[in-house]
Order: sequence, then structure tokens, then C-alpha cells
Amino acid sequence: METNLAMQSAVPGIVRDPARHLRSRDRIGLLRAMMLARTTEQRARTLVGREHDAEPAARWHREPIGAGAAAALRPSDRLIAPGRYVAAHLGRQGSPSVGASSSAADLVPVSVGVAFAVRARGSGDVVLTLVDEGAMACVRWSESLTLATAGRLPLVLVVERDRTTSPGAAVTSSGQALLGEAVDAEDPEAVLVAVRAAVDRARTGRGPALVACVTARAVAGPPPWRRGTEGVEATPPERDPIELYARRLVRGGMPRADVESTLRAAEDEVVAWQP
Amino acid sequence: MAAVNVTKINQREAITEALRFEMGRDPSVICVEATGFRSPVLEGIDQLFGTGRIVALDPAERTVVGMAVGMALEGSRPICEVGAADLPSRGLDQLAEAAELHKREGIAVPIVIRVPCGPSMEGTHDPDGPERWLLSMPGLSVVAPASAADAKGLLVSAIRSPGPVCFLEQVDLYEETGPVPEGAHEVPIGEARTVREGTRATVVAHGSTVEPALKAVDELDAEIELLDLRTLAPLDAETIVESVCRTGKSLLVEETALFSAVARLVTATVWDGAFERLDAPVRRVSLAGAAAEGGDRTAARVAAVTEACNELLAY
Repeated sequence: METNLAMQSAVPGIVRDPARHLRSRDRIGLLRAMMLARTTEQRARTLVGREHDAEPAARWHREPIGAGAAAALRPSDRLIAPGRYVAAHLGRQGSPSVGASSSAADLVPVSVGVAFAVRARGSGDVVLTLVDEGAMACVRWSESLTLATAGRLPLVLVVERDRTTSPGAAVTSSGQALLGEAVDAEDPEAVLVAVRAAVDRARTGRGPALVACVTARAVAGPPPWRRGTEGVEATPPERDPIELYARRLVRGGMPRADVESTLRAAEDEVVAWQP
Repeated sequence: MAAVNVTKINQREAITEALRFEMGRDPSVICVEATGFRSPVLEGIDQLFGTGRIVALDPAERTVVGMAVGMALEGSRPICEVGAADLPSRGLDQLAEAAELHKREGIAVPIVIRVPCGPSMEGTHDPDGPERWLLSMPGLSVVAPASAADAKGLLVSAIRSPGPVCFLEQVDLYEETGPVPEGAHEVPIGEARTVREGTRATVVAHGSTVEPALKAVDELDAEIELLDLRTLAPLDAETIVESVCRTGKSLLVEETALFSAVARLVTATVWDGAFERLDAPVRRVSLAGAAAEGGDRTAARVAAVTEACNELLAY
């Protein structure tokens, strides 16, 4: 999805309030990507007989992260992300993405390698990778960032961070001179704007950037393979990022019918798919 | 058939020749360095092809394999080096990642990881070999040349392969010379070589065990067939089974003290494909610690294989 932000100057800072430049089509695109991800995961669970697994609410924050991050990219940019960021992969609409069956920590050095090659080609493309904060806790992270910073690689790292594990902590950059910004993970527009600024920085040769998407994980509890069939209680509706964003669009003047038809169309598209 | 010019060079030179040939043929082939030290095999490469063909990542010892994967995803064919003793901490997980991407997602990941290994390596030597880590990764090919010609041919094939390949370089064999075809020379991955034909038993060897095995069977002159595996993954099961079905007896020659991953694979292959034709159990001889009074290691290794062959023939 090519947002209107793509039409802006490549020099960040000139656009004072980037979110104002989002068109209705951009916003609908974000909502659609989130709903596609939600329905895809639900459908996948049904196909493998795990439709009663109620844990997914704890993962809903990945939908705005993925949708917002993917929307900040040009079609020729690279997305490298684990499969859990379904919204990012689906939001690319035909552009290549890699890493759906990989772990986040393994993808960090891969992303740096891709960024090296992209820079050598001189195409002006950017590499974006989505990871969780677990990927930051290993030597590969710091070694990769050292090389990316030294080489001023066109790399953007979007890190999912849990507010409860580091309350009030500023975004760290592993000791590297890395531009970092923290945003609310459940707001796809905030993610889009922050990632877009980071992508612009990386594209103009000023080196890699980091965006931390901060969330409070909705549900604590044992992983699915340790639970019985009772599952875990879902997040209350007011914390559902799709619900929140849909209401926000309607409050902002978008016709309710447009919002509802977008959600229905995304659902129908996934349901219609046959393995 | 046109005559092929042959020169006599050692294995290190053969590896360098393969690198130069492929880098001259394909501009996407690059060498990736991560330790700050230039491998002797890469000597002269930057003078020939320019510094752009050698990517120096320093320090990147723990991430070089992952970065090579990234470069491969963008159309390069990177070749990097990770010592056998460093594999568990500096590349195994990323190798698994490369193999997964290739096998599970069907993505071309044309990387070559040169793995210097062997008893003579400086520093911590892993007596059980890197094979035990590498042979459990579907999607990863593993080659182990024994001769200079095979070193060149297998490295060429590895570079041209669409998937990740580990190229096991036995440092003990670096100075071993042999005839090597000039120019284009490719040895297919997945094909064993019948070094010596025979009818009474099959000896299976690879890498640094081929030479002592060959000397032993030559001295015995007892119609013993010798197979050089050349590729450890995928194993050439067809050649092994066909040979053992003919001879009825098999002996595995290994460097490792313990039953290695290669031995397990070959044994299972023989049991699965040739059980009813066996005249003796599958035997194994380890060359680890083979030594003689006076220190002639070579003679001791040959003697160990000779003894094992005699026992097998007498069974």
C-alpha cells in the first residue's frame, strides 16, 4: 500500500504533522491490513483444529505494528519479519517479504546482510525488520548494529517492547549511535509515522534507525501447549486495536458504512481462500 | 572428447583456483571475511577482482553466516569461513536458519561456508568433528573432499548450488598434492566416487580417511572396493547400497573416536538397503589416536585400517 506520505519530500522534518497527510484510502488500508491479519490467524487456527484457543488477544497489538510498519515502505523496499507479524506480510500486497518461518533473533543479521547488498546496489531501497525485544538480548543484536551503524546501512528495526517489563524506560539502542523513537504499539498511524521517519532517515544515507512499539501485553498465562482446552480469557473489547481504530475513524468523519464494509470485505477475502 | 589439461597442485591451491575461476565466471560471487585476518586461500583475490569482491565485516564472527544469508537473498553468492571449533557458538543457528529458509520456504540461499577442520587445527579441536552438527539440518548440503581435484570440483559445485553448502576443508590435507584439471571442473554434489573396485568387501571413507584406507587396501591387494563419499549430505545411498550388495561386507573408516553422524547415516543406509545381502555386520574403525612407537602416524593409520580389513575378510 503506497500511502500519501510516499508523495512527501524525502527530507523529514519539513512535514510537521505527517498524520494529517494520510488520506482516507491510507487509513482504510491500515484497517484492512489489520483485519486481514486477524481473520487469517483465526482461519488458520480453525483449519488446524485450534479454534477454541483464546490466547490470540495477547497478540493483537502485532496487527497495528505490522500494518503501520508495512505501510511506511515503498514496494521495492525489503521486509524481513517473523511470521507472527502477519499484518506486515499481508500488507505488502505482492512485494516480497522474507522470514515467515524464522525466529526474530535469527533475522537480525540476515537483515544487515540484505542492507549491505542493497546499499552496494545503490537502489535507494530500505530494509525493514520487525523483532520483539527478546532479539535484543543476544550478541547477534549488538554485533549486527555495530556493523549497520558503522556502514550507515539503510536499515530500520522496529522492536516490539512490553511496557510492563521496562516501565518508563527510554528506548535504548544497545550502546550504538542509533536514532530511536518510542510509539504506542496499538496505534497504527503512530507506528506508520514513526517508521516512515526512520525509513526516510535510512534512505537518505544517515544510517540505521530504531522504532520501539510499546505495548502492555493484555494477557499473562501459560503458553498454549501447557493449557487445557479452557484457554485464556480474551482481551476486553475496548482494548481491541481494530475496534479502537475503527471507532476512531468514524469519530474522525469517515462513514461508518465504509469502515464496516472494509472489515467485512477483509473477512470475506480470507474466508474465501481454500487450501 | 577433448583432452583436459591437468596440473599437479595441493589442495589449498586447488581451493584458491576454484574460487578464482568462479569469481571470474560469475560477478555475483563474493568472499566475506569476518575475523580481520585474511585467509591464505583468498590471497591475491583482491588484486585480481578488486576490493569490492571481498566484503570485510569486522567484527562479525558471530553473525557472518546470517549476513551471508542476507546477501544471498539479494542475489549474491557469498562464500564465508567459520572454523569447525567455532561453529557451535558462531554460526550453527544461522546455518539452521539458512537451511530452513531454503527447505521450508523454497527460497534460493546460495551461500558456501568453508569449514576448516581436522586434528591438526590450532586451538580447540573438536575430536568428534563438525559433521555431527551439520548432518541434522535438512536443506543443508555438506561436502568433504579428499583430493585436490575433488576440492576444486566440489567447491565449484558448492558455489553454483542454489542452497547452502558447508565445505569441510581438512587442514591436514592442505599440502597434499594431486592432479587437478585446469579450467572448468565440476564434481556433482551427492555423488560418491569408487576409488578402487573390488568384490570381497566395501570400505567407505571420506576426507582425510581416504588416503590411509587406499594405502591399506592397496597393500592387502585383496579385491576390496573403496568408496570415497565426497558428499556427506545428501548421502549417495545408491552407490553405497549397490556396492555392499555386491561385496556383502562393509567397513567404515572414521577420524572420530565415537560413532559419528556419518557412521550412523551409512550404517542405517546399509541396513536399510543391503541387509539381506550382508555376510557380516557393518564394521567401523576409528583412526583417532592411531599412533606408533617412533611416531609414524601415517603408518599407524594404515595399519589400523589393514587390521580392520583383515578381521572383516576373516568373518
